[in-house]
Amino acid sequence: MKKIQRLAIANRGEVAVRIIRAAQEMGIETVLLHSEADAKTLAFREADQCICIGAADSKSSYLNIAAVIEGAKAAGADALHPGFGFLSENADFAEACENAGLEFVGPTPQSIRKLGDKISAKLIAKQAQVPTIPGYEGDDSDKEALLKEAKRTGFPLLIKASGGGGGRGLKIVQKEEEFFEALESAQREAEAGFGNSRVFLERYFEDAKHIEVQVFGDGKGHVVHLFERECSVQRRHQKIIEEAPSALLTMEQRLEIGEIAKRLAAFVSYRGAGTVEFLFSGGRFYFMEMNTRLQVEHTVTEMVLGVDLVKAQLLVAQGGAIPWLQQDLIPRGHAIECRLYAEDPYRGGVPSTGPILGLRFPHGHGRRFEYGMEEGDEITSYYDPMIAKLIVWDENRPRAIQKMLKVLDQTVVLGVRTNIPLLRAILEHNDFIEGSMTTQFMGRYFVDSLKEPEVSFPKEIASALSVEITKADAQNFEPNPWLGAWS
Amino acid sequence: MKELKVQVNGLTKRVFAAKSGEKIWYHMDGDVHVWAPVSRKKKNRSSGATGAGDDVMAPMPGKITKVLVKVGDVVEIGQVVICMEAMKMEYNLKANVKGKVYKIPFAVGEQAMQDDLLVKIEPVVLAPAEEKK
Repeated sequence: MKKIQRLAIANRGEVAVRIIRAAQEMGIETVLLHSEADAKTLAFREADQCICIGAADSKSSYLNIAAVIEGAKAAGADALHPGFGFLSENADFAEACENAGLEFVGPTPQSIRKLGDKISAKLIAKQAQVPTIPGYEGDDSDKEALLKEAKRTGFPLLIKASGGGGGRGLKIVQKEEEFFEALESAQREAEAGFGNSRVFLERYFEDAKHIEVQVFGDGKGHVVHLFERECSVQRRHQKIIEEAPSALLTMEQRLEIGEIAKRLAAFVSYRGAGTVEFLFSGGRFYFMEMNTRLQVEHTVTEMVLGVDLVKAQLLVAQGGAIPWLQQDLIPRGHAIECRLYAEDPYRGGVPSTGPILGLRFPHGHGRRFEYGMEEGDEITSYYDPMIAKLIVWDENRPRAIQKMLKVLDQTVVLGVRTNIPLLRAILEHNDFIEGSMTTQFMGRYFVDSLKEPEVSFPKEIASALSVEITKADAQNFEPNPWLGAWS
Repeated sequence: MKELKVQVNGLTKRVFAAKSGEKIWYHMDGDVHVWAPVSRKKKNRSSGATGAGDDVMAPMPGKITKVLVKVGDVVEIGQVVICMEAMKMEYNLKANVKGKVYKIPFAVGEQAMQDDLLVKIEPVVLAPAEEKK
């Protein structure tokens, strides 16, 4: 066992803060590798040391392998945590870390290569006797040949970038006539996003739940599963609300899916934290993909199991054993996570940028807030517009929902628009309350922008702030310049 | 950000407020509102014949990924004319009017700022007879 002395963090925002804190608690020094745009962030303030590795544009900094390695070496780091997104699932990067003498906190480059590529992951799943979704995962990129395969797979279907994730390079095609247009767009996004235009096809289930299982391995063949999370509330294939456990699975189903996920991870002697994603439709599970990294929503698993996944990652990276036995992992209560985005729910979810004029989280028992920005910091257009993750735990699901609604009411963000009104509307929706929502939920009920409530500016606030207002002023709220411009 | 206790319609409200230029952002009863004084003239965003919104503007900063029309083309309402990428997502921007493309200041790969003009469209003026149909 080789203790990590100094850990480089090749990420930003709330996940960088999360990793910095876990490492510091373990007595590990932290070095934040950040872009020029991220000097004014919480991670920058919390890290023991900061090194600027490039310009704001991710390609020059967070996605620049050479710059990241150079920064980590210059800081004298002996290990590197990639967080999620950016280079976290890049096998070449993991390999470059190893070659540079940096312990990569994650699976081996070989695992990332095999499982990160969705096509090879599907083949491995089949070998490991894990049920998969019907589709085409061959090499052909010719559009006529792919159309033929599309017809064989059946519509509706999904076109996925083989190296994609988080909704990029992913298109739903309802019928044959739309196929070529969607294919071209998917290939273009895949080329731009991952430098590889290869795509594959998959049958699209209209009404399925997104269920994923957290797994954890020691790299020597020993694997545990940390039960499931449900992430059916997605928009444009990006998760918005996640919870653990899933609302509707029976205990038998939960144990079944846990064992299936474990089988896949054990098959490749997986090391560290990973997530096996499944679609759940008609009482059956279908393997979708494996994410070879920590997930944004790892927090809900931590809440119901009382574990620290980031610390476990660091322990295993040091060559230590998995800190839990399978039989000790017993979920208790219910946890929900809401992703708080800087976007305008009244204008089609357009990202909202600018300085954060006010930020306040309503702390309390079973309430957890993960954020990377503080009051005075700025939401820029360079990166994902997530401001924070709001996480609650309570003894059962109805109480957790109740608690989250209160947290949403009491969370204050001024200066940029947020999706709080949308999150609240989702939590109050009957399908969500029943737990019957599927991945169609957002597309079915929340396609249109929310209607902005009409309010007049209370003169009492004006006078408290010593602002002069006229009667006409009192009615005048921000215009909706983008209404109608979005579909 | 200031925290205030104010009496509104006889009820005590806890309000969080912050000023930004002439705008006031405030949080009350779980919602955030933005107030701006009337005297501040809104930016005239379009010079099109039928008023605001004829042109396609950048709703946020981002990179132009595809230009689907060229100067001189006639576009229909709802037709996708230009694509941009911002915050990891691709957005298809549509024409709000039927008209002739007059100007496209950006090329693929260029970075546009919020409110930049992306496609200038001269609305087609319908002949009176056609308009009646």
